[in-house]
Formats: sequence, C-alpha cells, structure tokens
Amino acid sequence: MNRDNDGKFIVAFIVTSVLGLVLAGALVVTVDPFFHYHAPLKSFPYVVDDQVDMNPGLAAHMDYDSVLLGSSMTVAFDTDRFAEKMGLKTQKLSYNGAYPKDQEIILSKIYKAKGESLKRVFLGIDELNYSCDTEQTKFPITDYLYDDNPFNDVKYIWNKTVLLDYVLRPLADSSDKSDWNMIYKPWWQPMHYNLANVRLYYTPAKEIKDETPTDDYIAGIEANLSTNIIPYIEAHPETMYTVFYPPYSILYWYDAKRQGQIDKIIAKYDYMTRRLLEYDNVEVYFFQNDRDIICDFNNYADYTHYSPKVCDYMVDCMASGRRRVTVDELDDELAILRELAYDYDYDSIDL
Amino acid sequence: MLFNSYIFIFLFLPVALAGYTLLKRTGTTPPKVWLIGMSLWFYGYFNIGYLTIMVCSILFNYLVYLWMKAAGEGKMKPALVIGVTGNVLLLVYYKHFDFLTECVNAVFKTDIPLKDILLPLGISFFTFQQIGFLADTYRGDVTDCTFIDYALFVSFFPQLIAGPIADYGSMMPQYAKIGPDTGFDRDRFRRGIAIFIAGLASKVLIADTFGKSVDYAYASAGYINSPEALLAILFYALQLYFDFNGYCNMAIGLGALFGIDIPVNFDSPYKSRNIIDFWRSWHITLNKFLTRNVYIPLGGSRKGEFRTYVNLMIVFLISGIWHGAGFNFIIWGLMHGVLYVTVRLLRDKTAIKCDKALFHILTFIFICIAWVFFRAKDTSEALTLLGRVVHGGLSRLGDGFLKGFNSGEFWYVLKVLHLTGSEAGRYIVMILYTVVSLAVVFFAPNALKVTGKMRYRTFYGVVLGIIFVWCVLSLSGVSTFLYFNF
Repeated sequence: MNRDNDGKFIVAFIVTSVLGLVLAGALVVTVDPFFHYHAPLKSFPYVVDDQVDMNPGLAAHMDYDSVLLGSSMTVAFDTDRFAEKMGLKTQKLSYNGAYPKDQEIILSKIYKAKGESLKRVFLGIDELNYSCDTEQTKFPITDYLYDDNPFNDVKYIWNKTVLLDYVLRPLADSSDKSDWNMIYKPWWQPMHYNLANVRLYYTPAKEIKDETPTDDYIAGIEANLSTNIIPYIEAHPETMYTVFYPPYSILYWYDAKRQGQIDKIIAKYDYMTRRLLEYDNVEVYFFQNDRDIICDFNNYADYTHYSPKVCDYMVDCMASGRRRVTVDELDDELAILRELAYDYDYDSIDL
Repeated sequence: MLFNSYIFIFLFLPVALAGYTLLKRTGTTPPKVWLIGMSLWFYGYFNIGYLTIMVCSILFNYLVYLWMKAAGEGKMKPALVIGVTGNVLLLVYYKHFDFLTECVNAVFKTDIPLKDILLPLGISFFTFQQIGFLADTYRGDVTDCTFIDYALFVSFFPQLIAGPIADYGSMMPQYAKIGPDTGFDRDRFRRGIAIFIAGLASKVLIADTFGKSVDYAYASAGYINSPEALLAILFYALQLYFDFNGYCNMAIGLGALFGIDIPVNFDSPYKSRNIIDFWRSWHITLNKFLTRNVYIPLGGSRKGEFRTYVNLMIVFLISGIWHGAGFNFIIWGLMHGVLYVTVRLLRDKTAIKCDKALFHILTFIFICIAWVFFRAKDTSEALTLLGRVVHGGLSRLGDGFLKGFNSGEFWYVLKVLHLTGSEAGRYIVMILYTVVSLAVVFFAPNALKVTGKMRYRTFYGVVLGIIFVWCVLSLSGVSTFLYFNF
C-alpha cells in the first residue's frame, strides 16, 4: 500500500488547492462583477443583468446623487436623461416585479452608502404589488450579498457562476457588455413596440369578479407604505421623493373592467396619493390617464411595458412639473381615468 | 451540515481533525469525546431540535443495552423486545405517522388531522444501527461497551446521516484503538483525501447536473414529452447512483482521515448482471442488516422453499417502507422483491444463471423503471411520468430540461468555441455527460479500487487539487444528498 511515502502528494494537493482557490478568489475580488467590494473597474466590460445580486453592490459603490427604484416598469429608462434634464447623477436599481419590501431593503442600502447626500428618489409604484405581505420580497435575496457577514462571502468569491459568466465570459467576449446608463434594459428593440408584439403576449383576463373588498386592498397598501416606504420619507426630509405610477396600456384597464376592478384600483391610487402627499418631500406624477400614451400600442411591447420613448417623456415631465398631481387635482385626474377605463371602445382593438 | 458545503470543508473538518489529532496524544477518552461533540455539532447544525431526538435515542438504547447485560444470557428477550419496539415506534412516528393517518382516513372515512412532522435527518440510519446493536447484544456478539464508545458508534459524523449502517463488530474494535498508540497513518490519510474528493466530484459535478433535468421533468411530469420522460428515467438512475456513490465515498474518505475504516456500502451496483448481485452491491449494509435481523430470524431458507420466498418478499417490503412513507415506496420494494424471487427461482429451478449480458441490460432497465416510484412524490406521479414515455409525443427537448447541462463549464467552453449555435449544439454537453457517465457506471473501476491502487505522486496531488477547486467553485448552489431523506 505504501507506494510513495515522501509526503509530496499531500503537499502538492494542498498547494494546488490553495493556489487555485486564491486565484479564483482574487479574480472575483479584483473584477468584483457584483460590485460587492468596490466600484467597477474602468476598463472591464461588465455584464449588468442580475438585479437581485447586483443592486446592493451598485447601491453601495456607485457614484450617484439620486436613484430610480421600481419594477420592470423602470428598466427602460436611460439614466443619462436624468442628467441632461435635471442635472442628476441617477443610479437605476430596479427589481422586476418589485414588492415594497424590495424597495425597503435597497433604500436601507442606499442611505447607508449616501446618507444625507441623496437628493432625489424616483419611485415607480405598481399598485398591484403594494397590497402584499409587508415582509415579502419578489425573489429570495442572496444573503451573502445583502448581509454584513464577511464569512459567507465565500459563496461569492468561490462561485463558478460568478467566475465563468461574469468574469471570464466578458473577458472572452465583450459583446454583451452593458451600457451604464441603460443597465437592466429590456431585450425588446424599437421594432417590437407595436400591437402585433403586444398581441403575442396578451390574453384577456377571465371574466371572474374580484370579490376582495376594497378595504382589504387599502389596508395592505397602508401597511406597506407605513412599514416599507414612509419611514424613509420621514427620516430623510432632505431627499425629494418623486413618485410615479407607470402608465400601463389600455389593455390593463380592459382586464380590470372584465374583473370588476376599475373602481378598486382607482380607490387604491386615491389612497396612496393622498397618503404620500402628506409629506412635503413627496411629489406624485400621474400618467395613468394619459390617453396619448396608454391608447397607442406603438408605445408598448406587451400590455404593460412601455418603450424608452415613453420613459424619456416621463423624465421630461418630472423635470418640468408637467403631469404632477396635487391633492386638489387628484379627484379630477381620477375621474378622467375612470371615464377612460369604463368608456373606451375596447372592441376597436384588433386582438 | 452537509459534506458538500463551505462550512464543512473549510471550518468543521479542519477543526475536527486538528482537535482530534491533538487530543489523541493525551489519552483514549478525550479524542472520542471530541469526536462525539463535533458529531453533535454536525447533526445539530441541520436543526437543533433533531439533536434532542438523537441524544434521547442514544440514551434510551444504551439503557436497554445495560438492562440486557444485567439480565444476562437467556433473559435478554424482554429488554430486546422493548428496545426494538421503542426504536420502531420512534421511526414510525417521525417517518410514517402522516402516511398511516392518511390510510386510516381513507379506509375508515375519518378526518384525523395530519401532523406534518419534520423528518429528523438520518433517523432511519441511526435507528436501524441501534436495533442492530441490540440484536448483536442479544446474540452475544457484544462483549463490553462503554457509553462513550456507544455514543461515538452511533453519532460518528461521517456515517451519521446516510449510513452505512455499521455493526458493532466492524466499528467497535477500531474505536477501542483510538489513543496515543495509534500514530498518524499517512497512507490512509492521503487515500482518505483522494476518496473524499472522488465522492465530492461524484456528487457536485455529476449527480447535481443530472438532478437539474430530473427535477425539471418531475416538476412538470404531466407535460413533458416522450424523450424527456425517457431521459428523466435514465438520468434519475444516474443521479441517484452518483449521489449515493458520492456520499458513501465521502464517508469512507472522512473516516480514513480520522484513521477509521467505514464499511463499504456501494460497490459499482449497475455492473450487476442480475438483481441478486445488485443488492449485494447497492446499500450493502442495509442488505446485511435486513438479512441478519429480519430474514434469518424469520427462518431464512431453513423452513422450506415457499417460506424462503415469503421471507424474501417481507425483507423487500420492509426495505421499501424503510426508504419512505407512501405506497410508491412499497411498490418499489415489492417490485424488487418480485424480481429477486423470480431470479432465485430461475437459478434454483432451471439452468438459467441470469448472468449474461441480456440479463445485465434487462436488470438495469428494470432498476431504472423501479426508481421512478422511488423518486416520485406518490404513485400517481410515477404513473404519470411513465405514461408520458408512451403518450408524451415526439418533440425536441425543452430548454428547461437541458438547462443543467447548458449552463455549466463545458457549455461555456463550447460557447466560447462557437460550437453551440446549431440545434445539435444544444445536446452536445448532455450527450457527453450521459455517455461518459454510463461508461463509468458500467465499465470503470470504482473510486475505492482506483485509490487503492493509485501511486500517490505529486502529479495526482495536483490533479486532485484541481478537481477539489472545481468542486468548491461548484458548491454555491449547495444541494442535499438524496439518501438524507431516507
């Protein structure tokens, strides 16, 4: 059995293992594709496509003075537009399907990094997601990228996916490199924004009446606002919160009508807006009833996701104050929306 | 704690080894107490509640053992009966309570609520091991056993969670030798490293890759097409093989690092030409346990042909029930029992030896089909998946089914080489994995033989170091061992 007793095998094994692990770890720490330790390297072609894993690092290490938060309704924004129109250096930190808890988690990271220097938060609110459990996140968060425990960082620095897909692959092929102003951008190209594409993804909702009482939705919204959003608004009067409701296409309202939800949704907007406007450092922009946007399918790639052109328009509005709504104007705006949602000629849509 | 986790490899194992090596110089008891303490940490890491159950089980069985010794030869039966009953009840409660409740509710139209009891990991293994110990005591095979030795015998972490089901005779003499007189055995240590890494690679690099396709197929059993269903059946056979092989090798490797020989539990089972040979090489220690403690006490082959076959069927029925709660496990056990008895009959009554290549192929196909009942969450799911083989229709394999193969390092290499653009390119890695795995399963010597003959030179140290690094980098999506649930 004793064929080679000089101990070189064990030494070789240990040296190779240590060298291999140190090399792999050093590559990951140096490039730091999830920005866990430092800001991005100037010359590396980063692929920025993993919101859950990358957002905490972006929040911690990027240079910015304002942030864009929200669901997939915020991924098509060009952050250079914020600089151009408002002189703000805006960091996009979207979470697809974001729940309020997702916003709370990333807000805590943002303020930990920037403190009182944060000038503005652009927050897209999807009413649909604001009645959920206050502790629910859309996707499980990656503990080692969100907590302050340095020991579980081994899951990051010795991680095959990180090493292969985010360090070596971009080195071998930089064609997927992300533009920093358009991170997380949707794969749709300009040619995909039309009714034909919308039709591909859309099936009218079943005509089943939503039996949930409006008060239950409102209670959920209040719980989420007061737990996950308002504490930050109150704690940071120096930050202006620019809240906007993403303009879904008219088909969203078609579904709402089929399920008897129009009044419930409008009641939610009414409650949320009044609640948020209790604070001086909050402003609300209302695009939901903008006929020019929501009735034109050339603005949409599916029944809710609008084009970069619409994003640009919204940024322009937020810069100029156009479509900003006050408490006094709210009833009128909601009345326009109600009329549009109920009276639109849905049969005219070629589905 | 899992063997294939960062905390085990980089914290637990080095601490356990260092403490054990240092304490071994001081006497016989301290290193054993250290190993027991580390084993309790290892077990409690899964769920602290489990620890209480295991500790109570150890105390109960040791008290029964003391009672048997005090009663003396010929008067041990009451204690044995109580001991075995206590263990079986514990196992039935934690593992089968809900299943039995469902059966009662179905038969008597009652509505007894289910308890959703969380199964303590490894309970089937440490319960059976302790039943075996009491039975050995009854047979007079156990001479003397201190509580420390007994606690170590049951809790020793390399074999605690998924076996092997060690017996007193194979382990206790080794524990007795622990102390200053047994120096560092470099031969055994480096073999331990090699076997552990072979096991880690088997689990992390092979089993888990097949597992992704299998999980996909079973999660959508009602919708997959025929090729996916057929491949899922094959892939689960390979996943389970490399998973259990991986665990068994890691257990043996870990034992070797501590100077302990863990019994062999897995010996290239798919090379078996018939089901009898299969059960001599798959889960060897369970088979031995059932032979010693069920088959022989039932009369074995001593009470005539018919009783022999009935006894064999009982053994396989118990094996099925031991593996899981549900009719699917009973069906799996009985399927194996029926084939086992059939092969015995053929061998005993005809000139057919069942050892030709045709039998090899048929046995493997049978085992693969039986595994469907083993893997499915219930009989209905198993039948659904088998039904999809016939009724699923012919179409291309879905991206979800191929994802496990097409997101790893080999796929990455092919992509960089621009070999993945075509339709055929989607299948390259899956085909390579499958062909190589089947070749290993059917033709290659197993890791124990390879590491037994290996010359431990610098080159192999480097090779194993590279494989180790590869495995560590693959740990980020840690998965449990399939046999942990049994």
